[in-house]
Amino acid sequence: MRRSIVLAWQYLRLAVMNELQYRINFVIQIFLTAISLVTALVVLSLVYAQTDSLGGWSRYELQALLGIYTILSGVVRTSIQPNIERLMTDIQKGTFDYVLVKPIDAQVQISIRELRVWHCIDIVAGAAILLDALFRLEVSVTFGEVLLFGLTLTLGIVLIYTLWLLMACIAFWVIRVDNIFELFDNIASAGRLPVDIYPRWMRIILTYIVPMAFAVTVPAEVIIGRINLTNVGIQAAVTLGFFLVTRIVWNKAMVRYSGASA
Amino acid sequence: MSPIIHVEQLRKYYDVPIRDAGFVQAVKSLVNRQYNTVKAVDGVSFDIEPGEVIGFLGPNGAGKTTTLKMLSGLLHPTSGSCTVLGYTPFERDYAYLRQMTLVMGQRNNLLWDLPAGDTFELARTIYSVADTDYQRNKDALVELLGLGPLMSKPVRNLSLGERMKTEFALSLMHKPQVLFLDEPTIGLDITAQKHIRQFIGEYNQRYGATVLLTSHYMADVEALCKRIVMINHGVVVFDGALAELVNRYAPSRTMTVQTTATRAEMAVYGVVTHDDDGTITIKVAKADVPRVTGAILAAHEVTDISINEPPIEDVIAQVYGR
Repeated sequence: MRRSIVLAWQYLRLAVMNELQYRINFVIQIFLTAISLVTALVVLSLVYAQTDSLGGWSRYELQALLGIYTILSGVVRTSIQPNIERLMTDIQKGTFDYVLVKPIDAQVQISIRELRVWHCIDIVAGAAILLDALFRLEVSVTFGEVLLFGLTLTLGIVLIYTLWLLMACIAFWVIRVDNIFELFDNIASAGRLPVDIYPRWMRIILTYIVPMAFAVTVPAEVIIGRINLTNVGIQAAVTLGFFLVTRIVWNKAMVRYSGASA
Repeated sequence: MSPIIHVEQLRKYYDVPIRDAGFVQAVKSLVNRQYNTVKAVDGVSFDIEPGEVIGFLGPNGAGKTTTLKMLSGLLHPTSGSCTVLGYTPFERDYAYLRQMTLVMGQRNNLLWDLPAGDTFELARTIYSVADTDYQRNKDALVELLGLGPLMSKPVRNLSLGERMKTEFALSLMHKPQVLFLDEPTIGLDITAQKHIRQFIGEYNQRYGATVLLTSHYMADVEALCKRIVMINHGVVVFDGALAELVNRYAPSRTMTVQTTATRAEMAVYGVVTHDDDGTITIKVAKADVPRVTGAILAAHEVTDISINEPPIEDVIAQVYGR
């Protein structure tokens, strides 16, 4: 465990050193983040020019949710996505063998190797939008709520990570699965809005099949003072469940990779 | 001494989907897939003593890489058993993985954008190499491989030969006792090949490490390996010294004779393969060499005579062809 943390830290250090070489990426990233955020905020204000409430969410409550969505997608683009992409190319090129001959858990290794530092901009921008929304909502947030927010956000990140990895595991059975990620990306972008606003059938999909609802909506509820402890409990249970399932599937994938029939 | 690597009746069969070429067949195979069992390794046995350098030979597709993968714990054998350092490789016990290394000439292990020196730090954590050992191992490897100026250059800027040298250093940072080298010199120029070869020899001498090496370059094998295990179609076809291989499978010798005798006169003794202004080369069965030599010397005026084994490549090609 300690070795994994040291290793993750070293990879982080290397990634920072490496990406500092490419300053232009920084500029491009700021530009891209700005465009997507401005678009989202404009849409938000256009919608709320027509109505005061969307599925029971007011304008700035929705902006808070947008902030959390942006933070989470920043985490995905900084760490989760590049690591999973690297895993895919490793499987295709056969360099995954080098992961397996190292005396450290393979799942840990493949989860910490890559980091696109510049995508942190999304995280920073998301936090800014969230803070702005909270300020405008004039909610007073207690220390306990901040802790609970941190917890639910972390659970959200873990949940998204397990979903990505779960899908990547398909690659051990089928070598080319790039398209699945595109599909997933599209479904995941549904998390941009609170699940309450979707029709019932889609809410079920988003909650139980691709549980984006838990990743984004639950932390948002906590931070805007609509704490629903049942939802928090379900989020924790679902995350733990997905985490365990992913571990089991990963182990099965490893067995499959080594061609063991048993 | 008990063997460090023990392989017994090792088998690996793959089920490979088969289909004929063409679109219709492709669609058919989507619905009703037919499988063919490929016997990549089909009952291989051998023992390797600590400190041996073994040349593991065979034509493409003979099962060399599959065997190496089973020994390094990447593949689960279909049947049979293998143990390395007393461990069962496919269990991937960390204690085992810390003592072995796998180098694949065609696959990169270094991080592309970073100087090799940085990647070494990672290896140090992964293998939990103690600080003092790390510095000592690193210095020794840098010296043995002449890596000094290369350590601070991004890997993408290194030549293929330089990169392979740094790959080696990285793979040996934890001072493994067992080395599995799959085509470590492939694609390298003669000089780089020679460097790597010398390095493998020195590493083996210095640390008493056991090396199992596959290579298509006979120069590698001749320079490094006293013993050869050759496989073909998944079974061992030869296990022994290189000299013995030549003895057993090269049934003829070439005799080069400088003489005043004519080509026709020499053709009596064997098949003339070359005739160049008084230097005539004939192919003679191994058993006949002493008799033929005596006969030539007695009957003709000879200024020089030499007897050569055929090139090792030819011998091996002959074994593969059986």
